[in-house]
Amino acid sequence: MDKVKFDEIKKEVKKKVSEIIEISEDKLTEEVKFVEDLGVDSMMAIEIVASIEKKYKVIVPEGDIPKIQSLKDVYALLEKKLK
Amino acid sequence: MNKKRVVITGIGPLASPGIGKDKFWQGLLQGKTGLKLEECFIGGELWEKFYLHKLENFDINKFGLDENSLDQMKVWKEGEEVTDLYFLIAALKLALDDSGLTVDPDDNTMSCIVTHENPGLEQYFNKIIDIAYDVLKNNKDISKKGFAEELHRRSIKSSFDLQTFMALFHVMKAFGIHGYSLYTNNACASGIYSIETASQIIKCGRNDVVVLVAADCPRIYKYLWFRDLNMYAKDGKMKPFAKDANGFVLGDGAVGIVLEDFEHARKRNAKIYAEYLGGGFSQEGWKVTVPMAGSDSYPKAIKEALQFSGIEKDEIDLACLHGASNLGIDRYEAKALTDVFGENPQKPLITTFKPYIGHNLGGSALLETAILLLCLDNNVILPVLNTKEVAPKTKIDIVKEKVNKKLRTVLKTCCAFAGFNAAAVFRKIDS
Repeated sequence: MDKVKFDEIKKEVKKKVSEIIEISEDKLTEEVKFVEDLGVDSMMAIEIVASIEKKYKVIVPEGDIPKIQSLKDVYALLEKKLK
Repeated sequence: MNKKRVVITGIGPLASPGIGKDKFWQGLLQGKTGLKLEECFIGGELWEKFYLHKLENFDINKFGLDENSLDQMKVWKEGEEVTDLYFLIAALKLALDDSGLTVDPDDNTMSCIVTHENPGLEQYFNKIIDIAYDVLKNNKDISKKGFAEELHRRSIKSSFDLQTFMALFHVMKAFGIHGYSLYTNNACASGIYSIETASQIIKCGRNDVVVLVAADCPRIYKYLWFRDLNMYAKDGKMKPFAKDANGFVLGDGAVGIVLEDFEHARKRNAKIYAEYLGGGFSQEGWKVTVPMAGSDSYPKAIKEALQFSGIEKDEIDLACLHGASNLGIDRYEAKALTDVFGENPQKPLITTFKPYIGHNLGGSALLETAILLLCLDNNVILPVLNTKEVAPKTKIDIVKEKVNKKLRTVLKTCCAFAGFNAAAVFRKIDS
């Protein structure tokens, strides 16, 4: 995928995740873990997955949902699925 | 406008607190959970230990059933273990006895709805393992075709019996029930779907009585499935909505419930536990084992139940939730409840019964409805066991001590695997 386009997607995703977990974007680094580090509710983490699936028309297998723990994980998933 | 009303006139539970309505209710009041550490051996070796709400001392011969009917089932089953079927049949007998109704096997159009997620599955797995191991052990050079043929020959009858219509057949045959009958499976929410279906059968005038029955007797294979999903409580303690909720525990159980046309019940002076006012149903359509956070499917089902019942939300005295004791699912359920009733609602009071009886899977919604109806009948609210501190993010509170309180209208809700969300409203009949 075109890097510029993926960078745009990453910006969209960060904004969406920030809205869902109600944490400002500047606190949302790629590495920080939603539940462990930010104390985000596990349901919000699932809501992130649901939102990503809907927006980008990708399917996340149920077994992979617990692995989505940070923005980095979301980006990696999307990069793989959108290729 | 359909003026028929549907009431519950028979309850026949069997689970770890006790067998039969009275012993079961007393067992619940005494907090008898039957929780034990179950050991599963295979080939003489210990495979796994896991906690289970086990029904002990179950003997199908003690229910006053027709021996010939049971014998016919044994002949078909060729000596195979039939615990799932026995649970269903026993529960139905208990419910019929409680209702005072009898079935004339030569002349009836009574309807029956049977629910079980997968009757005979545990026994089937055991059988396949035994056959496969025996074949491979004694035929080291067997070809794949030869193995398949031998496995097929020795298991085809059991495979046939996995078809769920066979469970319906055996239950109906045990009682001589001949009317319009169904097998249902909507995962853990099955019981509420069955109640609604039964209500529609009565309201359309097809039948005055519908008997419902649901059961499960889960063992090692179901335990392993949930264990691998990290949903099983290793310490055996179900703590619904707790901040340290760590999973559920399976439980044996079965329940029969008799639904009846109100006028039909009144004419024969039947004891009426409650009226079924209406239900709500919503299929989420996302994942199987994970509810869709952010979806409005579950609150929609609850609101629909209120709407079809023709009541306002503040008329609900007590709500019995699914209470899976899983952090994510509990949170999802609490959110649905607060979407309908507001955050930290003072009404309805909230409880859940799985810590008493375990998770009865496909039987759970009907069995927990039975407990809810007994609470309504006795004006007693059973507290949620084990939960010391409710997770603050749920924004609900739960009943933690037994409460004697006059109850009129109650709500049962369920959010099941595969996104089957359902809710049902029951009200005591005004005298």
